[in-house]
Amino acid sequence: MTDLKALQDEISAKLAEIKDAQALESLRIFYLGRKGRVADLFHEMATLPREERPRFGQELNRLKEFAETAFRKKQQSLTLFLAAKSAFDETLPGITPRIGRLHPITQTIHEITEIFSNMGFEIVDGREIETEFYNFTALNIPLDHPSRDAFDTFYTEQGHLLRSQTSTVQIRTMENRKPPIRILAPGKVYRPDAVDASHSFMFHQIEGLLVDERTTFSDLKGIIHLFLRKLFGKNIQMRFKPHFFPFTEPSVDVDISWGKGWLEILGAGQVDPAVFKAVGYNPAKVQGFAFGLGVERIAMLKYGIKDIRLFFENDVHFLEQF
Amino acid sequence: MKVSLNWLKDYVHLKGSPEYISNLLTMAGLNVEKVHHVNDDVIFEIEITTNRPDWLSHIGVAREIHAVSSASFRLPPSAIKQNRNASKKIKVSIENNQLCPYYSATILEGIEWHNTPEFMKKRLQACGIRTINLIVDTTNYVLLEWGQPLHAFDLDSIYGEEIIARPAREGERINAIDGITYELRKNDVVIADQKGPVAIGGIMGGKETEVHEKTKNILLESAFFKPSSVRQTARRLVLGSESSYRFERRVDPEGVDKARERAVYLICKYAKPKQVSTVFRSGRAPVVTNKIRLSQSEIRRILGIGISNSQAKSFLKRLGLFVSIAKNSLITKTPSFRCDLTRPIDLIEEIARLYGYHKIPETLPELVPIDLKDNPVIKLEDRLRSLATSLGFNEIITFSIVDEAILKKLEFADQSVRLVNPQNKELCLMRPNLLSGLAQSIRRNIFNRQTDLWFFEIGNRYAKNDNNQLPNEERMLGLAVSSEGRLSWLEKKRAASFYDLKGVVLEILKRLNLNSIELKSSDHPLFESGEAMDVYIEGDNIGHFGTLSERVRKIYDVDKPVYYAELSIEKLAKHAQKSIKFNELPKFPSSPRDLTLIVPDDLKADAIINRIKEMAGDLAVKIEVFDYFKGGNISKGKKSLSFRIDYQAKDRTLQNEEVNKLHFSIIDSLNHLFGAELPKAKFTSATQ
Repeated sequence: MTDLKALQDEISAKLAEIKDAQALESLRIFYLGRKGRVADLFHEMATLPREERPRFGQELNRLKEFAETAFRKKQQSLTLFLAAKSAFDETLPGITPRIGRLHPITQTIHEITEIFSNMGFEIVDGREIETEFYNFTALNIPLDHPSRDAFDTFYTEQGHLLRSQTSTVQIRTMENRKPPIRILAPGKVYRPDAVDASHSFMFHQIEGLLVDERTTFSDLKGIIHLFLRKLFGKNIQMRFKPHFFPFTEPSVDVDISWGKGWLEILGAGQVDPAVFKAVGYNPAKVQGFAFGLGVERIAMLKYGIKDIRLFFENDVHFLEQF
Repeated sequence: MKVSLNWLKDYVHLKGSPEYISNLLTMAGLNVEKVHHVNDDVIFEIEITTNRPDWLSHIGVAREIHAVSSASFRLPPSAIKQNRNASKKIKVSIENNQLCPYYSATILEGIEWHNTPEFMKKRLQACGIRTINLIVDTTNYVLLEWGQPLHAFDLDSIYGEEIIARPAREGERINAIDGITYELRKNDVVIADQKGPVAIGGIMGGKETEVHEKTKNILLESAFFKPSSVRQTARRLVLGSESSYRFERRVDPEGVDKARERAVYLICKYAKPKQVSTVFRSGRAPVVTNKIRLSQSEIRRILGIGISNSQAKSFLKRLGLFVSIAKNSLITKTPSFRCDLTRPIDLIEEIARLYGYHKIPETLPELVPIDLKDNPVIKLEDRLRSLATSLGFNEIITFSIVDEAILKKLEFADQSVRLVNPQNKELCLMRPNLLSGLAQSIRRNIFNRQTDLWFFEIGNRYAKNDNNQLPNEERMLGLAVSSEGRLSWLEKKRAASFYDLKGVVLEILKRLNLNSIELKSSDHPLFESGEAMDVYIEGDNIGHFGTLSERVRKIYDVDKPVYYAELSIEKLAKHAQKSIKFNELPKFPSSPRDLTLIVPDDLKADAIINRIKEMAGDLAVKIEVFDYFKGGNISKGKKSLSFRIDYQAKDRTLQNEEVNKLHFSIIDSLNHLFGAELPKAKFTSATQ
């Protein structure tokens, strides 16, 4: 005896696959036509024992009703679908809303400041036109000393200068506050360098400073490595190389593993006692570290940009990639 | 500085591959920037930090390798067997012992001219020094070996029998070895004979007394010059040399004699002089040895790790210090070549460096909470960035140093802060506003065939201050729009207008939750006449916006319309409210009415709106302009303006009669005041 339930499932499955009217009609004839499967089953009923005929007849009628309804519904949905399909082109492009983008330098600054904000550093701001005192003297860089060679500087007619480093903010902050201090100071700095693919007379730095009663060189290593892992991924390798800055001691250049070698990424060190003295702190009582990094350099690494000049040309083809 | 590996091996027992040695140097603080293989030698290009002038020599570098690796170290020979007497004599004196504390010289008579020995030539060339003749090469060789610059004079060209190290007479001239005549000032040091200068002290010798291959007798000078004086002179004359480079960083005072004797030794060996004099000298080498006491606890306080006294002592001894241990401290005496070591912190760095930075563990500090200061400008900047980008503006960053020629044409040059040493002659003024950067970015992109430009920049403007006080720096927001509209298959392209920028400015101000925003027509010269407005918050002028005038666009070479706004973030921050005050939601329905008026062309929409507000008071909760039309049926000199007015009361549902009465009285009043008429075709277009 034919399994009517299986047949019903078979009809449903086949209907679901139908995509056009012609196929639907063929299928309808196959099942519901004068010589279709359902008609055959009515003939088959005659061969059954008498007592089974009424139940089978009932079920067969139910199946026939089911099939007729299903074919009708499919017919309707197919008609609607085809009508709609001809009138509406869902493949036309969407209308892009006009939303601007932040400059990659700003994005890089945000990324870095966020990491330090989460470690309890405060974001502060500083002047760009400064005095000798804040850019040099207080940072332990004496006049007529070769250590100034690293800081070629623009001077103004009034005898001021454009800060050549964001370290000026260290001094301004410490002058006005008492420890503990944790600050991060992003901003523009200026050096009279000839402009080429890796030099610009204006660029951005971020200065960090932590001063309290106990933070050590070993803590500096921990914080910097934590920062670099957040910025470049958790597998980043780091090394501290001895270096010299007049305003920190010990001073280091920090390298990260990059490709097959090492790449200098920032400068850091324990704040030099001379700097604490310049701002009226007692170097025997307070200690801490400072670090400085070039934003363009980090953005160039992160995004694979080869020419620093692109940041300041502001070509929309460039801006709209970030 | 270039350092030869073969040369180093004369003084330090050094094994390992060039890569290993390069890494050893770098991790000691001698940052190797490049490694060159030259014939059978390896040359390291090393960045030498200014605190370590003692590294500006092969002996210095070798000594450091000894310190970091304990490899055995020895100095080259310098004692000669020859008797020290010569037939010629010279008197050496110093006029100003500040500028030249120590001057010494030796006479070598009857030298023989041979070729410079091969090893010497090779090493000099590998280190980037041109070989000249046996005597000059020898002095250069000792310079690179000991780090002490020497100078050899042709003794017979020196006039008289006295050499004096003295300040130059103002305006005095010398023809130097490079063939250039330099004019000297009284802060320069010269070496002079009885006729005049024969050398610029520590920088370059004179042409007349130069040693050449016919020289028979030489005077070999070795001296100590005041570092800052050499630096000033070398910079003023733009005359840097291997010699001035070392003197301005301070040479080892004890090296003055050692290097001279080493040169005498080498000259005796290769030029075989007949007679060598004793040393003529004046002054004293300013040898400084510092006594520094370093306590155990101080090492731990700074580094975070303890290093035992005995270990610290061995590090410092390898660096050439004399060290003894007393209780929990080290008592040290620094050698003459380490004038950079003056304080306990200097020793801590040395100990950490030799211990190895890589061996110091990474820890995280315990951070106490800090009462963070509010920084309203930085906060507002971030808010403005997010508003501007959500309004479709791309952020740009441009130079704060701008073109003087442009500012002159705009008549801003006089108020601007001027640089005395610009990198580029044209770019010498600090921007007095953000226009230059924005306009030039627009120009550049139009040139690249971009026609839909919406830019903003946040940055400082600078203004001169009186009495040589620091200039004013003010954080500004600049907006610039130049757009022909966007191509879209769905809508018609529409060029940006003054009203787009006006809408943006007002939307930004509204979002900052400011009190009493007021716009007043502006006659600022940047803008097209009548197409600009000043923005006031609580009576304070915080900026302006408008259509850039054709004249200004021409100055920036932009031939498309540009709408420009500039607002002071610092002033905005002063007025920005901290909290939002919630208004109860309306309880009663509003009754909108549309009103189309034919008014004279020169009547401003604001006048009508203000009158409606006056008449309706609190009942007109919203007044919008939804149509503006000229031409067609509208007669010349007139325009049609359509308003939608939402009438609503806080305490009751407004009845139709009340609204209509008010609405018609408004129409009457507008007709009275401004001659506003309803369109002829329809009586009213009131809707509900």
